Amino acid sequence: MQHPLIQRLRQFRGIEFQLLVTVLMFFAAGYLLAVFTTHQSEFVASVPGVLSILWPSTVPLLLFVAVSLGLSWRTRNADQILLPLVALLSGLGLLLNARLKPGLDRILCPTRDGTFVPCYGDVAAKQTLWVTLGVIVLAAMLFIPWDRIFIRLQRSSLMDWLNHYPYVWLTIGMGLMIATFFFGTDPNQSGVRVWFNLGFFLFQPVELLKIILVVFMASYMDRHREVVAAPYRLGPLALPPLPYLVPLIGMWGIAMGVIVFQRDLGAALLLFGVFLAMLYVATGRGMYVLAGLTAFGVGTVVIYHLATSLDLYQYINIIQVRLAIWLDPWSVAQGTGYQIVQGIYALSAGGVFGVGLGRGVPTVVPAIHTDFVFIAIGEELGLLGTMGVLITYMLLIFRGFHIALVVPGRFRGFEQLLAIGLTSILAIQTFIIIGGNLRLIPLTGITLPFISYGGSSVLINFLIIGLLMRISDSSHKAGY
Amino acid sequence: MKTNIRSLLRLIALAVATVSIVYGISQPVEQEVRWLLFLWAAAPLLGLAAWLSRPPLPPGLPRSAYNLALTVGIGFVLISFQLLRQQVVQAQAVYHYVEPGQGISNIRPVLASQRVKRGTILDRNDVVLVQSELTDNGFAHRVYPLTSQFDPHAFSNITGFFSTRFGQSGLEATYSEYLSGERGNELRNLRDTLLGNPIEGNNLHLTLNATLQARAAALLGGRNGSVVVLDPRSGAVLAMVSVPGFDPRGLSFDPSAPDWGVENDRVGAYWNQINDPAARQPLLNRPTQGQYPPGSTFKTVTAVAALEYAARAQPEAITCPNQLDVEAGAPPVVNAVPGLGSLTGNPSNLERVYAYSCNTAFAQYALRLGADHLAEVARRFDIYQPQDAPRSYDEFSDLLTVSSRLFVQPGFLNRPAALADTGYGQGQLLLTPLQMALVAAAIANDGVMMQPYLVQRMTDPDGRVIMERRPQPIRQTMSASTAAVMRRHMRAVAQYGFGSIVSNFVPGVAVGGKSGTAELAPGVAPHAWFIAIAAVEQPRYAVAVMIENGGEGSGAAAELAGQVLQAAFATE
Repeated sequence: MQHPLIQRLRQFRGIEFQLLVTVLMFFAAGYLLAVFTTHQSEFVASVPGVLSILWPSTVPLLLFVAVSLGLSWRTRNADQILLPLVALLSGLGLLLNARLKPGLDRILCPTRDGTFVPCYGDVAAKQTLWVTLGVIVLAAMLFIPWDRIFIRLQRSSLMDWLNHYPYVWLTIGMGLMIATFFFGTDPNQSGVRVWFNLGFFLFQPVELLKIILVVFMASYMDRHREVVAAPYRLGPLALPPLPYLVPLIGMWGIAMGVIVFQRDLGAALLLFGVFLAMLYVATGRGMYVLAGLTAFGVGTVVIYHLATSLDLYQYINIIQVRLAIWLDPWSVAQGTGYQIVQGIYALSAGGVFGVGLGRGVPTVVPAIHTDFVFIAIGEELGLLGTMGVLITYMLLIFRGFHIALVVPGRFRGFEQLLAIGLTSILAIQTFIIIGGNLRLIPLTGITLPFISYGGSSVLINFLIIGLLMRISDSSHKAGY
Repeated sequence: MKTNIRSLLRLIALAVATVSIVYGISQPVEQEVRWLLFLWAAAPLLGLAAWLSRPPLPPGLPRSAYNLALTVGIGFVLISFQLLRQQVVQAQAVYHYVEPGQGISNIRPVLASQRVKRGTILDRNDVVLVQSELTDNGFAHRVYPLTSQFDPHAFSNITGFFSTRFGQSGLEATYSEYLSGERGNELRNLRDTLLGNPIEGNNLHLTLNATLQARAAALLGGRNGSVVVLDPRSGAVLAMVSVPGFDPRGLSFDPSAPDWGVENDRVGAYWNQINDPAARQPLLNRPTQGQYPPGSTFKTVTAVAALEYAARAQPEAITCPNQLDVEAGAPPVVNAVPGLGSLTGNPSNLERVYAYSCNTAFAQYALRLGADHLAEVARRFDIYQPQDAPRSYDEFSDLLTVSSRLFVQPGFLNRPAALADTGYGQGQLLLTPLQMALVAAAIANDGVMMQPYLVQRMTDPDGRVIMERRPQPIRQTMSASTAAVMRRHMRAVAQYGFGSIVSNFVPGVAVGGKSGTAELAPGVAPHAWFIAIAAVEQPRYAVAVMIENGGEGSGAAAELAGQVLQAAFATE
């Protein structure tokens, strides 16, 4: 028998703690640099002066450390790599928002009474708030004994509860979509009405929708994973068995619906991509993915042509404009291609080492703190910075897949698929937005996980990490 | 065996993918779509290679998850290659890329230039023409101290403007890299960058005589036109006036202005104003970018050809009939003044037909010489035939300069009438005033045409000389004896020929010259030209003046040339 204290010490999550401290110091230095270069006059070289600048970034990062220490007590087996990676990314987000704020403050929007006010509020402070809330969400996921609560109330653990009601999730998801169509607002004239105005905060329902989709798919696929039914025959066509065909068609319909009714190509692409990833992993059939992608492409083309023939300008616009500025942004550099052209210029300015934090002019790129935040990294931190961020995402994503594979699939297929799905969200979302920024694929506006400014995005991403860490912890508890 | 095939396949896939990416990544900015095509073509190959490297797994979720992770990995590899292209391989090209027809360029070089304390531009007597002042907020403001003495419009074609929105022109454009310090003092810049000091640029010391420049512009008055004054011995440009000019202060953004929006509007409004057709193209540097028919001043070139190819130009005697029929069906060559033959005498000689500017005589010289010989001599003065004309005239690189043309349509000179017209300065000749000044300067300098230049030397912010210009000959355009004969003929013009009023302004100085009256179209006043050298026995100045629609060259232009020479001697 060991002394209880020694036992506690043995549970200390050393790897996570060390990595977190490294991240913390990295961002303390980066933050000071950003503040020093962007608004020198505020800098006072004294201990209180430095602390007054540092607190907005260090508060959430210190919370990470607190969570890490707390985990040592409660769920010591949870993955130790996820948290530092997320701290790195969201810390970079805080750093960039603090650095971009002075530039964004100079972008003025007209108000109704003809005066001008900064278009964006205090993004740095708000992002600090969001990340803080995100870490609290994460802590709530990890520290509240959800399993005990659910066993008392629902007679099942959290994961089982999530698993048990796929059609409830489906209904909620559909309801959310329809509600967006009717009650969605477009507060910042981006052309898509995909926000709920909750008064204190604009919520993007699609962020929640992607988690609901993953929960539903994991539950549904887990039930039908052993389907070995013969292909469904329709004349000469060999269609997938019915249990796969129905969601394939249903999801395709939803994606098309998102394009037509919400005109949100990015969300449609993300939801459909996550769906295909999960379908593939659950069935192992590449053909389904191919069929799904073909259907998506054909659907988009059909919508485009239908809209053209019916002269529905707003639908033509979204597809045609996106494709046109992808293939040749320069010829419309003064119009719709402005953003991407400015992004290309900003990237080219970065070179290998970047122009240096606070020394570039990233704010000439519209939406630099949200959709185009990767470009700001490219300009000021250079190829080294962008590659570093890419590698961080790779590690995070591979870690997520790793967690899924450690879960014993035979008993906990739902959790396994859930982990795959949640990781796929991060992977596909990152690829869509960075690929769009870089003109690798057509640009569609979604956020870069953890780094982009935005409340719903940050909160939901932390929720994803919370779920992944819970799954990783429970896999160990089961004795594997 | 099976593993061998796998590794061979993998090798092939990787090799093809590598070739595709390497070829694609070097495509120019305009061919981005082609690059994307090659990049995406490489994606399935990379996928194949990755799939072949994957350890064999039984079918099931782990294998699918593995494949999914590989797919994601390849997606990120594609992103990495795109980053490599955009941030490294094509970064420089993209950074300065401007799509034709789109008013969007990268703002970064502009902003960077705004923070640089650009160098000073001084005239030959160290009069400060342009300099930069740092404002309190760390920006630099281009200011024009020359305005305390001179009209800034007189210098706009030389110094050009420096605008954060509209770019640069003139010396600000050609020497931008030196003025901004990007070239010339790299080490010092590195130090200043690291220390956070403002970057300082290099200074330009010009050959220009600011007093003469301002005086010449004032003499042109409101008339559109050009004045070029060269030192024929070195090629140094002493004055180069283009009227109308503009006020470069109108385009110089003042970062210390309380309201940048208002300041921006002011600059934008001035830009629109000088680009309005009513402003008569003040942004055009007429001496180097204006292409005009030279009129009779071109007889100088024909005369040089007649002297250089004396055997072909024989006999010595030449007639000056009122009318010369050259080619059936073509209009005859006529003289500007009837009865010119009584002035030149009959038969006459080269000096008298040159002095009295007899068209029919020079038409005959051109026909005697033939197209090839005339073209060959014109080429010595860098007056090109269309097939070998460069777009820009590189012998003068300080300002944008177009090349001069002997004719425009290929094969034009094959027609005798065209050859005859060209011989006395009409036809399809298109010359810049600078080119005509160079012809005069070559005659003045014993046939050696010197490279014209405007920047005598460059100094770094500490005053160290980083470039000193030495006179460079372009070539020997004619023998020294031909040049001496031509000086005599030009002297004859100023003594008794058409345009002798040029001598009235510089008493005691032997001036040589040649007038030109370039006919444009019936009912339109002709361009008035005059080229001059002074003093003939030891030339210090070669002048070309050109007044658009200025009437008779022997009148207005000769008078202006005389006044310019007077000013030149007065400001010595």
